[in-house]
Amino acid sequence: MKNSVQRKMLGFLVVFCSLILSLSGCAKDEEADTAAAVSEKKATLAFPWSPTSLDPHGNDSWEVMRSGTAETLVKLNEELEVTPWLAKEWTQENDKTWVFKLEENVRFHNGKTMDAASVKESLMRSLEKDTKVKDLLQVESMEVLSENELKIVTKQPNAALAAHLADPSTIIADVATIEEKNSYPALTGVFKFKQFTKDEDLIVERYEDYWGTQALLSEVTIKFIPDGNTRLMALQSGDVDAATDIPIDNISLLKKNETFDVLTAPSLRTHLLLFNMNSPLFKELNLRQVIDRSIPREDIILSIMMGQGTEAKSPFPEILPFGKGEREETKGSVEQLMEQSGWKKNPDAIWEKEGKAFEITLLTFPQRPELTVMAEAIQSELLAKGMKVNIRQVENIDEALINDEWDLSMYSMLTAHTGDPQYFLNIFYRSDSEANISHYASSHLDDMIDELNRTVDSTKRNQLALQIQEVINQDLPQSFIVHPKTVFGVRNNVKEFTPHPIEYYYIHSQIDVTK
Amino acid sequence: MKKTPYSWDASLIVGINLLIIIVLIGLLAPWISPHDPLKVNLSNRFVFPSWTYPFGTDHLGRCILSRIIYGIRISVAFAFLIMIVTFIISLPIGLITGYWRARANHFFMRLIDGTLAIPDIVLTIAIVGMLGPGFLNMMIAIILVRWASYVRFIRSLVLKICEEDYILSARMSGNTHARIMRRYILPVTFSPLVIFGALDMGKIVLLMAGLSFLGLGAQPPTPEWGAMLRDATAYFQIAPHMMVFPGVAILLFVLACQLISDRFKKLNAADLKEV
Repeated sequence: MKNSVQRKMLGFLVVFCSLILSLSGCAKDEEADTAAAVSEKKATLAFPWSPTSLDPHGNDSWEVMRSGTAETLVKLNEELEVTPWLAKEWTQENDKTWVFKLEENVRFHNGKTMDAASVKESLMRSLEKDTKVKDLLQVESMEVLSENELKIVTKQPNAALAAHLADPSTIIADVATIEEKNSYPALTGVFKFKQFTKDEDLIVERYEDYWGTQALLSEVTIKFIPDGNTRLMALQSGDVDAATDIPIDNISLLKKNETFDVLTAPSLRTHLLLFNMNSPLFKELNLRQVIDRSIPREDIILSIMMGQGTEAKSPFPEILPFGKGEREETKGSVEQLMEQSGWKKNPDAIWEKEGKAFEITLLTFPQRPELTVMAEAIQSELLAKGMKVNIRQVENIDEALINDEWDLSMYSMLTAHTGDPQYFLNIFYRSDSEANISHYASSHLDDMIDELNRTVDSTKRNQLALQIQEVINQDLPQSFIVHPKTVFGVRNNVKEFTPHPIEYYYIHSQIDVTK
Repeated sequence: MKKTPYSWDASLIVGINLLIIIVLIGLLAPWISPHDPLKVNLSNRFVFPSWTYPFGTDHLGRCILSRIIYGIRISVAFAFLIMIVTFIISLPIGLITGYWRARANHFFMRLIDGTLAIPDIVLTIAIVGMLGPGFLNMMIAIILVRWASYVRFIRSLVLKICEEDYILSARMSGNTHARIMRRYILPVTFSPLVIFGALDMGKIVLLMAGLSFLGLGAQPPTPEWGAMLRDATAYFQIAPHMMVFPGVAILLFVLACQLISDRFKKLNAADLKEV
């Protein structure tokens, strides 16, 4: 009897002790959990494009910027106004002279302090590596005034200099680290590179010594998934927490599922159709007009874009002050235009000239799936009008545009990512620009662009930009189709990962993941 | 006395009927198909199967049933064409290399061994990759890949036939080599070749569909079954019908070919045993 009481007591003691122990364990765990939650939250994002290297200057600058690791002297806000970033303020002393005052306490990812000398060195390298930057900035000389002051003198008055310093190709980097083989470039962003595997993923981690607000996430993995559908499925299966550029047709799928949010925002992008002005057919304005008129824009916006975009009348979206261009109304029907150019319909109802049927090649690419559907819609429309179109899908559109024979190509451009028309007009339309992929050459237009580059007053600049677009719409080196919206698919526990009109500011310190 | 080999059984009847129906539908396409297979109607995208569109519509609002019907003309007709051309190329080679077992044969046989060593689809992709995507290039590639197995098959048939006594008798009674090949060897190879051809039709259709699926064969807007499947991949979650129907079409055609050739294969094996 006594024994059993003792045993009961002992049992009670054991249970009691273990309960206390386990409770205290719990408390400890919880504490550890909250501490870990601050520092150990990670997110995985899916982006379509992979950089070929992490060199911040040159062709990969956009993708490097997109990873949240890099910063420029200035930044554009959602209204596309220039705001301070690495430069806290700047003054324009005269037409050609600017003084930028830099943020203090900025450290590169290798711990080195950023000063005016290192900024100068970095800008020098971008000028050297990228002819586009040279054209944009028109820098004559740079001078280090003090530890945190840099003077930039331009060759000609360059009103958009500050805005152009927001271009990712002017990322500020510690130049000495870029060419090093055993380490990643040291930049200044809120995240720093951890590991990069080309075409697969880029892992970035929080930079503890960041000069501004620390990142909420400790690590972000960016997976590069070029195919839109695969990106969507990665999101659905939980492989990634968010994905950019979701195929528009599949939005409904995500909307049906409560765990996902679909975020859209107007972009500064234009989907367009490029004419190869070197192709024998499209040297002729008449034929370009025929194609331009045959694009079923309304159907495309309503059905292919499902309303997620607005009709494009000029390269710049209408939300911009210089984006109110109007499409040139052409006179005469398609038949009249074709006959004017000496084409006749053959018995198969296909246009023919000197015994050769009208047959053209149209390039398209898989990264933006809606472009391929548009290409097929345009193909069908043209076939109904007696023009044969062969669609060719290529993996790397930019390479194909340089190397291959083509007549037409689907394309998509971010046209005003510096919040200013000058950049796009210079790189896309100047006869001597490498990025002028339509091979459009007009000395009249070159003069107008020069004038724009010289003009300082913003109303006058906008007016000039509109006049330039008028000439473009008359000469028609491209057909503008639609200004699409940017579509993100996001798991609803991901916070603050939202579409920004400027496509490379997606990753920032405030992105967070809740449980 | 040989018993007649062509006793009918269910699988053969099903196979032949299926094939006849498919071919008939293909021939009568303009009269049966409810819509124009190329007619784009953007306001009618991804319509689910309904009375107007029995198989639904695709990403451009085109009628899938009409596209499948017209697809018969492309898949089946071109598979047939590829088969015939391959026969025309490999029949003489097979006959001659089987009949005269000269040393030059070795060269051919090694070449064939080499071709056969690489899987069909891999080799065709490589060839189309070099020639560039397109229907004609795809056909050339398939012929370049398939001829080897045809030659090998024909040669093995000829080798076997040449062992027969009646060939010896024919030779002894003064027939020329050309005449022996034409009169005594060629007719005997006919029946096995039909089986081989029927089976291969199915394989060729699959190969064509595979290449078009990869974007190397038929280019848009051609209503080829493989190309239709390719189109469907981007939308299989919102419009599964785009994927199901072309898939079923390919399945039925290949099944018909298999059923027919299977039956003949069994008969042929029985024949050979009796011999």
